[in-house]
Amino acid sequence: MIIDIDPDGAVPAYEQLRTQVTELVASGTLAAGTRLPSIRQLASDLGLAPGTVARAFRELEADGLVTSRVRHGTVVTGPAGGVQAADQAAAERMLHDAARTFALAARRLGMSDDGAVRAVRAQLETLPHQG
Amino acid sequence: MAQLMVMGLVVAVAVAVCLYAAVAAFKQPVSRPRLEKFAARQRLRVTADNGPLVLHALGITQRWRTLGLWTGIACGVLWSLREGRLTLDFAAAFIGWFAGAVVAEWRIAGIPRGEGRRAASLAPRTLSSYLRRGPLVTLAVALAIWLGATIAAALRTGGLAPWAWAAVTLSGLALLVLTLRRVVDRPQPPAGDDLVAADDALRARAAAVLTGSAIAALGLPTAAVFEVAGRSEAVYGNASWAAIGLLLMLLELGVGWRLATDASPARTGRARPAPAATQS
Repeated sequence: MIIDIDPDGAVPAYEQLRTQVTELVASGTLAAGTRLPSIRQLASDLGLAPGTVARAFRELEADGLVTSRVRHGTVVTGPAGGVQAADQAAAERMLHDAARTFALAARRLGMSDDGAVRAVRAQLETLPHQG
Repeated sequence: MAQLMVMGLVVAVAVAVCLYAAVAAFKQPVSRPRLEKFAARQRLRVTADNGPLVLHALGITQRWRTLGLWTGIACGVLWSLREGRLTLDFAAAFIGWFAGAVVAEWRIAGIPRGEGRRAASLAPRTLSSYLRRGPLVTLAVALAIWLGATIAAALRTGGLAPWAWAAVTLSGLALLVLTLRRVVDRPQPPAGDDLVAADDALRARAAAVLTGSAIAALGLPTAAVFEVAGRSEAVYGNASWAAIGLLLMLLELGVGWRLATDASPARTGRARPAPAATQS
């Protein structure tokens, strides 16, 4: 499973990380009991400060999605009941918002519908499947 | 006077040889047999994609480990002069090798990260992915022997020497732990399978060499504290303790060397099954 951060984006890096892990847990791609990498490893791979990753993990723990224990690291606890439904709804909303932004850009650029769909498909093919 | 001049000449030649060997190691490129040996040990298929990464990393480790080894030999020769002798100290050579291995790992950057967006895998990396249990157990046993001898020496002599050796050894141990952590945690952005497999192979080799050279380097403080412990021995005499310490040191040198040079493929499941093969 790959996560992707835009360090120059308007959304803070810790929030991007939190959102992506939340989506992976909500969709079941990250199953309960899955161990996440250490804060040091993730910070090193993403080129972020350890404090940034630690903040994302703290918020995930506050949301009840992960639990951190000394010597065991951070483990996914899984979405509990209604949390999963709420997160899935939020994920679908985010996807629709992103699709609308893309559709508007395609219209602005004068792209055909087929051209726009081909562009999305091409981008999806460059990314590994989650899970 | 003449004897002193001969001694000085011999020392100058010995140190010059060490310096020459160290400088030559810095200029020498990685040879094809060395690359093939690495690929065989790590069960890695070297390809056009991962070749530059492997060659770059092997170049760094070759330079620094060789420099450390020859510096250790030179220091050992100079140290032996305090007693008016000229001896080759293998323990000092292995300590230099360990120091060189440590420096090399801090200089390796791993897979280069591109500009713009950054990606990372959520698969955790741990030391057990890169190092088998055997070397760790051996290191723990060597440390336990050293610790026992240090406590015995401290209780029997009451002097400062055992504590001084303890401070040096624990500093080396801390350096080992920090460097192993660096080996595991250095960046590994998602890249092609060949590149990630090569990066894992380099990490596994680094972990094996660091642990093996640390076990070998531990031979010197172990022998030293055994010798200190024997100083107050009234029944069996100093020689017995010193002999046990010397035997342990030789054993640790041999075992450490064996572990550092043995095959040590990564256990991440990404190694490519093509032993001893390079693809041109």
